[in-house]
Amino acid sequence: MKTILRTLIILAAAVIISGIAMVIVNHNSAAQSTLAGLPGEGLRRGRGDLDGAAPAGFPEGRMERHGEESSSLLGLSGLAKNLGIVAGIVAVYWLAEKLFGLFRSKMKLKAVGN
Amino acid sequence: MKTLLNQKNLIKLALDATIFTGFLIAMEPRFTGIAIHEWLTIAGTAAFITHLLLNWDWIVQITRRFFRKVSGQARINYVLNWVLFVDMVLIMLTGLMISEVALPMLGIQLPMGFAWRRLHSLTADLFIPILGLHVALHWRWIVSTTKRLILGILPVRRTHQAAESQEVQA
Repeated sequence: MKTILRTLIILAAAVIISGIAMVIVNHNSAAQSTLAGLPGEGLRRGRGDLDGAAPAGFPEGRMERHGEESSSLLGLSGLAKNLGIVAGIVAVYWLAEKLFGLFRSKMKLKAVGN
Repeated sequence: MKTLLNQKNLIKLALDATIFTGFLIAMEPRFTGIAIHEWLTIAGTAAFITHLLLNWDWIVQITRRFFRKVSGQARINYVLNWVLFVDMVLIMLTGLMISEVALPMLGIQLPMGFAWRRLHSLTADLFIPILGLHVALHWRWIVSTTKRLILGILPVRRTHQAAESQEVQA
């Protein structure tokens, strides 16, 4: 019972955040369509959307989409990049904490010495 | 009591490692392909909710004491966890709005939205650094729990640091 209640609280928070996001996005889309004409909203999505004439820089005739195809090499490098970012942040934080600890203990020693 | 606590920590650690690995893989759709990307993330939602449920006591504790006596690190951690939660919800929402496999398979076709696609990319780009900070803030807990529960190398030492890391765990 407790777990169900807690899950419902989490879902309710998610629904509130989603609702706010939907209102903001829809409001912005409406404003954009009034200002700049058709923003592309409302079109039906096909299997491979944005097909058609090749835009500049995309000679294959379609714009780049995330997850277009599974490309192991590109995917692996992306995976390594993400892991690297996380590891880098952890390392920087760890180092900063160590240095701060050292600095603090030095200051304490100085204060005791005086 | 000690065994139960260790078991809970072991479950937490195993779940966290699974979520971390799963999301890291899911965050790279070029590697998995769009179908796995979508289904893995949807499945990850359940694991994410379980993660929150396992740390519910900490969430309630800090929520109650946020404006009173709480350590600075716990406060930063709490705010960061909210940012991570909001980002995660937005990734899920925008992902569903631009879904190409999961929702169409369920017979739901949503209109194409460039705004949702942009927001999905933005929130996904933000997710990795926030996740990095989340891991960094829990690094001490991860290391100590791994040592205690997986490797069993070091005996439990209730130092000030260990007590502090328990306070900030989420």
